[in-house]
Amino acid sequence: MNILGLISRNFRRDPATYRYPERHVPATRFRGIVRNDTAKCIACGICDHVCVSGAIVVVGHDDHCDWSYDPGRCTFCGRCVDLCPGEALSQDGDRAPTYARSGDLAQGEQITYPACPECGLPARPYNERLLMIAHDDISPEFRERIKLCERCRRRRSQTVLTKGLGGAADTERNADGA
Amino acid sequence: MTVGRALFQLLVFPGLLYAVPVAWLMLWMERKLTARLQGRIGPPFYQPFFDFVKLLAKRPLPRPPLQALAMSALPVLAVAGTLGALALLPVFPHSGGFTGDLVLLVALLEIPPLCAVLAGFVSRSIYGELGATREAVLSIAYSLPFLAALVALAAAANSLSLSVISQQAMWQVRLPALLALALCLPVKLRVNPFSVANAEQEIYAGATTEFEGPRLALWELAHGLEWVALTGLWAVLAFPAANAAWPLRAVVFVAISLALVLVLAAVAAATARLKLAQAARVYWLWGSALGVLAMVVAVVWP
Amino acid sequence: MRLIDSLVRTSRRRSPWLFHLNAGSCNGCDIELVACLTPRYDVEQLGIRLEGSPRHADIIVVSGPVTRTTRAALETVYAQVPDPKVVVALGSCPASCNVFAGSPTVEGPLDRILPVDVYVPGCPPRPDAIIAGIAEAIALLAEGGHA
Ligand code: SF4
Ligand code: SF4
Ligand code: SF4
Repeated sequence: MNILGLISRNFRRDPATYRYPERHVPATRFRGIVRNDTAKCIACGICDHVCVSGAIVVVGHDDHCDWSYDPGRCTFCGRCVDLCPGEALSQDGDRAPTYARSGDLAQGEQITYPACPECGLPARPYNERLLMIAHDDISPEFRERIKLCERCRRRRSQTVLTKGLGGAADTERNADGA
Repeated sequence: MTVGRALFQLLVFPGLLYAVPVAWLMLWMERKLTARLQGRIGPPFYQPFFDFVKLLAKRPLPRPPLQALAMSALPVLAVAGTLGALALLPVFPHSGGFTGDLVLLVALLEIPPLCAVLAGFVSRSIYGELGATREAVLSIAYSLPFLAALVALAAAANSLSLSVISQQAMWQVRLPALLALALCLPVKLRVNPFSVANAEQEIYAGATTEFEGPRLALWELAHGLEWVALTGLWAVLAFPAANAAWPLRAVVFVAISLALVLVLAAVAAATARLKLAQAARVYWLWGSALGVLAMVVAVVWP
Repeated sequence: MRLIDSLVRTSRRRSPWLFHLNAGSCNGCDIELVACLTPRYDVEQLGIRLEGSPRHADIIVVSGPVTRTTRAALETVYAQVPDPKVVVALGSCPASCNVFAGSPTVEGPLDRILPVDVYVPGCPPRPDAIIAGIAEAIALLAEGGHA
């Protein structure tokens, strides 16, 4: 008669219930809705690429990038957070509020590209960590170059290259391009 | 029994005015105790009352006229039948009653199950029909011990009047008869382990699956009243003291009824649902054994 | 009349009965909903009951992205619930079809088929999120739902 012991023990004890609205605090690594720290985001689009349910959409433009996220589509798997190279993404430690219309919780962020120090046009953002992964030895010259916009960077590389080769091609090419 | 007295018993005690609040109280006690035995908080005190009001305030769904009529009439009949049965309970011994009210009581107590069976078939849902079939099978099974116990009591008191029976049946008969009646209570009230007729989560709500809003409210009320009537019947038969003062009798009547609710709820919480065949066998075998024992004692005892 | 009105309102708030419909969910949300009935969360403290029959229900709780086979059932069940009623969408699936979006067998999201009143975010939502969602639904129900 195990059940008798069980129910009499339940009866003697206080109920195990949380009295509404008292509630259970989520575990420390609870995966809530995703937040983007735009200052760290480098608009690489990896989060969009790995998101199984298409909750994150990253669309690049000339001078900025639109990052949008709909928690109503998210499976809260955390893949985007794990794989974000800029560590820009994080997840709330608690549940999101309920909402009344589909898409009410959606967030849109804009990541503006920094200006190229040479020409002033938008340059793709980068971050230190990604750089360290790609190159373990970074010369100051290289660090300079990484901040440039694509066009200026190409030109800079060209200059370096041609200088090394003797300098003749440089004038020729520049005359062509200009 | 004078008309005034009959009206009092029907409308005040142990009828309408007493029975309806106590029905809600018993429904709550049953749910609350079950919850507590399972380590939960359970519903607040006023729960069955608000359930009832809410259901009354829901808009009934459109139905074909005849079905709508049947589906409204059946729960009303069940409520009325149970109230009638309540009015016959001889809580106060010399409060009247008449020879043969035992027969009327048995008939009235059979109305709610009968209505439930009909309701299940009228609703034309397979779950309703399944529930109705089970209800019918079970009512055949429990009727034998239930009736045998009452017949034994009547034979022992040599009367068909409830108040005489409750006073004069001897304890040798009364004991097995009360046991047989107690055995019949869970199945008549459709609680575990004999809840196969409305098997929650299995066939949804059995016979009342298709009932909505006010019609369901009446079924809930009928169910609550059945609790009051059946525990009341048992209480009346278990407390014969003829010369107790009327307030004492009333208090003891209520106390025994409520205690019985607690016992039934505890049993329900401690057991699992038996299958239809198993439940029927319990009644055919053990129930009948008790009933027959009571009957034999009633006839053979000098 | 005022008294009866407020009594009805209170009773709707105190006695919401749920009907749960699985419209092709992965079972995650369904398990969490059942978790609400466990001693830990015990929604019966709010008067909530999980009913087996839509005829008895006030709140329809839908989980899953609404597959082609469940769509008809969903519409039938919705019609079977007597007014006033409220629809709660459980998890990301009914809100957007979640990972099932674009599947040829999915006809969701839910708001294409039924008017949805409350969305509970999560995949699956935590039981306390579900209870919060139902509490929201109860408030709507007391005001007469979207009948
Ligand atoms: S940096 Fe992170 S958040 Fe920004 S686009 Fe890349 S993966 Fe997404
Ligand atoms: S947590 Fe998973 S589903 Fe949600 S946005 Fe990130 S990758 Fe997509
Ligand atoms: S929201 Fe998530 S847990 Fe719920 S049914 Fe959809 S996939 Fe399953």
